[in-house]
Amino acid sequence: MTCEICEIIKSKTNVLFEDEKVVVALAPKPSTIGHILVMPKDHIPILEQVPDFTVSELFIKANKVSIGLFESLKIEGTNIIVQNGTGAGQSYPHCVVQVIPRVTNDGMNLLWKPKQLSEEEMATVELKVKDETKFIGEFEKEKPKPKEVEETPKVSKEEEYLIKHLKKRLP
Amino acid sequence: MAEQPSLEEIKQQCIFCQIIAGAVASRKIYEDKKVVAVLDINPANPGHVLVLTKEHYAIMPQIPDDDIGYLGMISKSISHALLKAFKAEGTTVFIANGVAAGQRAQHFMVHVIPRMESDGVDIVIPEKQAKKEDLQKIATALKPAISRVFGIKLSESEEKSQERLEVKKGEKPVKKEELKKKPVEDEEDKNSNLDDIADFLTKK
Repeated sequence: MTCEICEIIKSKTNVLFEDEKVVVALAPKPSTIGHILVMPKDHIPILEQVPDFTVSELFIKANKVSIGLFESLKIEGTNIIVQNGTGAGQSYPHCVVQVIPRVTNDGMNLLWKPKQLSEEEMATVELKVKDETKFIGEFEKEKPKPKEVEETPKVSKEEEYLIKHLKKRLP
Repeated sequence: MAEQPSLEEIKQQCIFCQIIAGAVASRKIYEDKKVVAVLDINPANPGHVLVLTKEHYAIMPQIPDDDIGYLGMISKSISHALLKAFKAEGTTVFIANGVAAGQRAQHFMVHVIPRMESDGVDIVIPEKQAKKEDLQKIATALKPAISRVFGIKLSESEEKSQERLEVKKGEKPVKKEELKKKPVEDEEDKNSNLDDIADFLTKK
């Protein structure tokens, strides 16, 4: 398995910050000076697979990086982009949040041409999306770290049964 | 100095605050205490969603960390919903900070766009080959600012000792020649240093 992003994380190539979950490093093939990648430390290909609490950290960190870029470069804006899936042009097999410094007339055009949809089409789209957004709400929280207790050897069902019986017999 | 408009006045003039308040019609596809998600009326693709903070924030740096994190999680969920609703081959999560980055509204938002291969949506991030040494130089130049934004929050009394703290935290001692070249604390110097490096990316 060769994941370019995992390599960066492992070799600490131009890493600017890291903690337990997230690594911040320069993009190896930058669009401009200060193009930075914010990525989960674990090899996770798609945004949907990244745990909610890590997604939260990725965005918080991307915003901080953006603030840091404003402070250190002569820039007028930043784009924060996740290309999620090949259909979106994702170029690494590892989920990354890209932070891109921008200035006016920098020759980068990241904006799209708007499509025109009829009222009817919009209504259909609305129904389709609403159908899937009903379930949004519960977010995965980080589990507290397992305590040392987990070290206890696993008991087979037979043993469990025996132990239960033994306990029952206790006065 | 001209009087600053009050938050109420700003909200009155912000189309997205009006949408959130329900004063302007929209197609809301999700709403909770903190955020509202609506369909973009000028979508890049059908199903293009805008995730808006209920609070009026003009730019991202104003938003508290918790809310940014929450926006991220909601965007992930919306992305998931779009993948399912349209059997999309991907999604683009897009944030524009500042006019130069393509921010058009005075209200912060996250775009979530369902994507298909060759759908004609031109969000292609250019990639340029960069020399190892140049990247290293940039990393060294950016490190102080990036470290600072991730640094421990300092109280006012601690502010004065910030410099000392940074020195303590700083990892490897800087080589003597490097020190001569650029004093790390000087913002101006840092910028000009980056300008020197700048031409390598602009050269075609």
